[in-house]
Amino acid sequence: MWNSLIIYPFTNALLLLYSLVGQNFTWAIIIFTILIRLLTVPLTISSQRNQARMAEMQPKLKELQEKYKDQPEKLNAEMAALGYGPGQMLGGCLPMLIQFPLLIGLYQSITYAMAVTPLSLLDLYHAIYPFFPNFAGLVPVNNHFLWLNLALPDPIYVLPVLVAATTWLQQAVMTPAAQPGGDAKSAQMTKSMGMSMTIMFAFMSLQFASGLSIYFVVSNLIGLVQYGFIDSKSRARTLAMLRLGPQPVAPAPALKSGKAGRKSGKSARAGAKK
Amino acid sequence: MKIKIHRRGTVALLATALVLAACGAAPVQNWPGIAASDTTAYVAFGTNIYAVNTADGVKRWQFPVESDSKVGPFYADPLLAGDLLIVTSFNKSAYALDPATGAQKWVFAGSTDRLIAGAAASGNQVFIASADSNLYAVDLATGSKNWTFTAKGGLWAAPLATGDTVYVPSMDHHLYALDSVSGSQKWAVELNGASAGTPAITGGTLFVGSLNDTLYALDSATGRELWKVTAAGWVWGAPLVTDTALYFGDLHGKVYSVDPATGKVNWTSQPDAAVRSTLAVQGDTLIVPTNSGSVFGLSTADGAVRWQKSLDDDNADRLLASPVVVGDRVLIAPLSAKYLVYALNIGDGAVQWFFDPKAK
Repeated sequence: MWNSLIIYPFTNALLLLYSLVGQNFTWAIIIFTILIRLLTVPLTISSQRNQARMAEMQPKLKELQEKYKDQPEKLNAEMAALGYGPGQMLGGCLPMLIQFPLLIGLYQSITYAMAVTPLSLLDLYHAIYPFFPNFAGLVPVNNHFLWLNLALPDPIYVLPVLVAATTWLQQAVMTPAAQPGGDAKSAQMTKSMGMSMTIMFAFMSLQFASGLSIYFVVSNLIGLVQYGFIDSKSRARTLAMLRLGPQPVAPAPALKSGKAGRKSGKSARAGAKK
Repeated sequence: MKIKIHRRGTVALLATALVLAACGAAPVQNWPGIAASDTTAYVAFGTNIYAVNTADGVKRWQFPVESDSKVGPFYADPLLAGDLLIVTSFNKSAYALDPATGAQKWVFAGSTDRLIAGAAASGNQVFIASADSNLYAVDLATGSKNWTFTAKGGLWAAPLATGDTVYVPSMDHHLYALDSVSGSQKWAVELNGASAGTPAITGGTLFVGSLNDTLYALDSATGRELWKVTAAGWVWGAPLVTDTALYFGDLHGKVYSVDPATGKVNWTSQPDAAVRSTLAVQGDTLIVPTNSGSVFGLSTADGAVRWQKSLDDDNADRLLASPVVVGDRVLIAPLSAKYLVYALNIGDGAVQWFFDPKAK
């Protein structure tokens, strides 16, 4: 089921791109990653917007939790009025959950298409559609690009460094800055998780085929670009991070409605001072 | 408490990375390789080479004695050459062993990539095909390198060495004929697809399969195409030549009997799944293992199924290794099954014995 719906179509598409770009597998990976990320733009942006809005609510939520700590029903009502509830939380997670299988599938299809062992080449044969044009002419996929054998880890560690840098940058840009009055513990934990993700991906790219590292790097860069296009605040934040300049502090939301995060910066800042 | 949460998150993520890395480090990369003398079968799979008594399936020795990640993994068919057993490894090295004891005689470590294919031997030389695109000719007695030939792509199939010529199929879509003494190229032909199976030869005709669904018959002296048979799928295994017919299978699951002189197809048969391996023959029975876990005994006269033995009960879902005939038995090494080797009676497919590497 997973193979038929995700892996096989992705692998065929990847090899078709490979044939169209002059049998350069690196370009095939880059273009295919871009196409998949473009297809999931609505999901990604929805998720990122929701994430940003939830983060902006944190100071107000904390305030409400303090204020109504002995009145759980009132607290729930106030939180709902703020726009914080199961629906909103799911709205933030669902797009990520939907696109996650696609990203895993892309990762797996790259491994599938490279077919660096006899067993994987045999599996590739069964994955390719019968009507695929000139499949025999494409096998084996040319794994060499610059100094890289795409089937092996980068011998001079350039790609692991790039993977670590782009992963860190993406985490740093997309993790909202700590709000004045926000939950410091949560912020610290988020920061710690971001660093762990960076280490994890760097470690993986030291072990895995460099073709997958290229996918990681391109995917991270596209994620950054996408985030920069969400709205003016995220764009400013992305640019500030790329310049390594100070991060703009996200304004706290006003209390009155669930659309608080979309209020103008002026009124939101006024709310934060209360 | 705060620190604990952070540490737990970090540890969980790093543990995930370690597990992923471990999963990607050493998966099974190929099917087993097998060869046999009258008394001993040699099986290459994973960390070890096993020598097994062909009479009862009892292990004689294993190499290395204790599993050593720096030595394996082994997958290619071992080669008996002179008084040595030559085995190749994905760790880029070839080893010469004493067939009686498994003791190491020499090691060749000149390759820069995996040795996916088995070796070939002729005279006092061993020819080692490497995924690094090189064919290495080494001295049979010492393992020292005599010469190197570089193709345009990786070598995944064992070469065929006959007298003064070595025939080398390559994943670069060519078949090369080399002078076995000097390593110089005699000729090369374009096969319009990668070639991952060892060629076969009879008289002056060379037979080689290609992953472009074709079996070619070439003039062994010049490489000139004599005829070809278009198959329904990739032709991966080496063709099997007898006095009267040429047999091969394809990944579409078809088996072919062909007149080796003219290329005329005598008959075709369609067992139940892809046929990756080289076939084996004993008398008038053709042995065909398939990717579905079944072994078929076909009549060489018309391809009719005489018997079928399914090893599915032992989870043998993929039979990709080439079978080896020893006396009235055929040895089958499934990719994944309860046992590593099954000895079947060629007459009816009944299991005579099986080999479990873990058995004491």
